[in-house]
Amino acid sequence: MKRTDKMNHIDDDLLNEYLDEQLDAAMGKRVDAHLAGCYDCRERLAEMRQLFATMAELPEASLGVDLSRRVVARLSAEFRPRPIPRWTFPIIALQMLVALALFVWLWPSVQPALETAGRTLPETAELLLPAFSLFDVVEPLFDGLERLSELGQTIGPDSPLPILEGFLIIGLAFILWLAGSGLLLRQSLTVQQKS
Amino acid sequence: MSVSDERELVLRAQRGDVEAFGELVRRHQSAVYNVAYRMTGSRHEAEDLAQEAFLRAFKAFDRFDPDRQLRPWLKRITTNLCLNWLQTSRVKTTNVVTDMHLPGQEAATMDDYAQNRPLPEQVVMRRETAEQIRAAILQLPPHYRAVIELRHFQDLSYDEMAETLGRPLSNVKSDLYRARKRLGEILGDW
Repeated sequence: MKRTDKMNHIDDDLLNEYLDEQLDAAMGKRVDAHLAGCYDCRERLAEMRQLFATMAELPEASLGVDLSRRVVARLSAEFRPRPIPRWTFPIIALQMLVALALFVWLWPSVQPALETAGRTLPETAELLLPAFSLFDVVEPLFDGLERLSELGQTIGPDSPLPILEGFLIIGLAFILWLAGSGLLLRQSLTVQQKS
Repeated sequence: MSVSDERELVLRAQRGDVEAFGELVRRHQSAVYNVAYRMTGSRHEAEDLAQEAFLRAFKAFDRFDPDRQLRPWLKRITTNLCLNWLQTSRVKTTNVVTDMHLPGQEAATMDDYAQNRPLPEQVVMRRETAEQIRAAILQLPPHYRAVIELRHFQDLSYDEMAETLGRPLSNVKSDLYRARKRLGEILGDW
């Protein structure tokens, strides 16, 4: 704690803190009291305030160029999108094949569950009504699903999987797909940033 | 420029939208440039350093909180960048300021008299005062310039200055007080 009684002057550190309003209330009042009775310290304070005011009046220099164009050009060159690496194509194709095979294999198990849900849940049936009204439009899709169902019955499990198991398998496959795609994406971005 | 507009631009830039970042550069380039100009005294170096500051900001943008104000963050980056440049370059202080004139300061016309604008001699005096201040700041060593820049032109608190510079609070305060004293001596000598 610095001394501020009338027998001594305020030292530079304390005067700076006073000007920067960094003193607590009690010390601030002590400094005020000292300044009230000390001409020399008031002079020093006034000189410092003048210095601060002079700096505050410094005008801004005008920028004669538009830096944004240069910055955007540099960033565009550094972060331009790269094509997906060719080595990821077989992995993506394999993922699609596995997804399709899984769908075909599980469809016989999932289809009864959907039908059951439609019968037992009136609200679900109501929601599905608009879909059935579009039956004529999507009939080819349903025909395709029916053919897949027949295919699944030949290659799938002997009896339909329980609903919970079915959805667990679908969920696990989905998570694995996400993880695989995420790793591929991350690898692609790493290659992009390093280049 | 509304806060929400800028926040939207920041979020887009954080997702990699370079054009959105370009708009942010347009909005803040003058302020960033002035930080660099005050620190270096050279327009050419200030332009280069301001550009580099924006590039560094973009690369660190994922760590920026979009709810904070962008300009103070950019100015701090620029200050540190200029400080590093000054400390590593051969020119530590400039005895002769290379860019003393202030473009945009035109001679007064009759309209200026009629509309109470500053008279020519007042314009000249202000220009000279501004040049003296810039030259005086450039007489200081780099770490003194940095604390003067952060305190008087960016209005940071002592704690914020210490955090920005990565130095102990006591050192920052000491440098600030000595820098002010030295500035006062330089300006008093002129």
